[in-house]
Amino acid sequence: MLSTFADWASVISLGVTVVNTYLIVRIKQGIVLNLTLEPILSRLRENSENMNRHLSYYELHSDNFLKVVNVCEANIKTIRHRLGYRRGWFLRGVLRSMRKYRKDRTQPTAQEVYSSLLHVCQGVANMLEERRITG
Amino acid sequence: MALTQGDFVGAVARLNDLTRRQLIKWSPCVPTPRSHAGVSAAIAVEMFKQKFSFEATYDERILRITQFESLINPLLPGSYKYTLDVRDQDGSLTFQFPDVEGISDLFRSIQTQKLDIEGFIKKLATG
Repeated sequence: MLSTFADWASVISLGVTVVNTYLIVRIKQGIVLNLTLEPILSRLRENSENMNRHLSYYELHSDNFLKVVNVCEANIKTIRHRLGYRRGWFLRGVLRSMRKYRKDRTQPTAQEVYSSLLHVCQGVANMLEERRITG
Repeated sequence: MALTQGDFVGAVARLNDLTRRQLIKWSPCVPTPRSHAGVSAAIAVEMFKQKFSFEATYDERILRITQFESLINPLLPGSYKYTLDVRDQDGSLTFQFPDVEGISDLFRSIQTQKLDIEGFIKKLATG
């Protein structure tokens, strides 16, 4: 039974500690995201550039295309991990197209991966711009 | 017009696909005259100089892509900017694509198309 002032103070201090911990974790995640979003976007752009290059002569470079897809998937999963599932919802399209590509390694499915990746790059670039504006 | 940024990204990706499949043939042209450039290009020309332009006709519209090079430091990343626009028969600008992802890739595909590596290799192989 919480009857005394000291008991209530303990409960409130516990609540404040929990809230503070949550805020510290959120701020830390925000800082990490702010610092890493731009390098990740550069890496994704590099992936899209390589995919585009391999798509030009796809029959010759399909193995290289798959290698880029694997690297790119790791980058996409890193972003999803940092953004969380709710904010990283827009990443599901490219991951789905990558799974489809692994089952059917043809030029149209490869083109679909490249196209979805461009949408992701645009989404991340917009997010970065918003963060620059809002701080 | 209810066009979203996603529509433009999709359109650029599709143009790139058609370029790679040689369904759109691009040809070099005189870089975009400054007076005809759109608002974003007008800002860009303050720090960037026009380098190369390519033109193609698709669906009875003239498409033009222009590469701009940074005048400040051409070695830094992001030292190239690209514009993609639609022109009328007189060559006047009617619409400029927003600065979306994929335009630089489209420019590289056009350069690859112009190099015609496949034709070159076949020519070398047949002697």
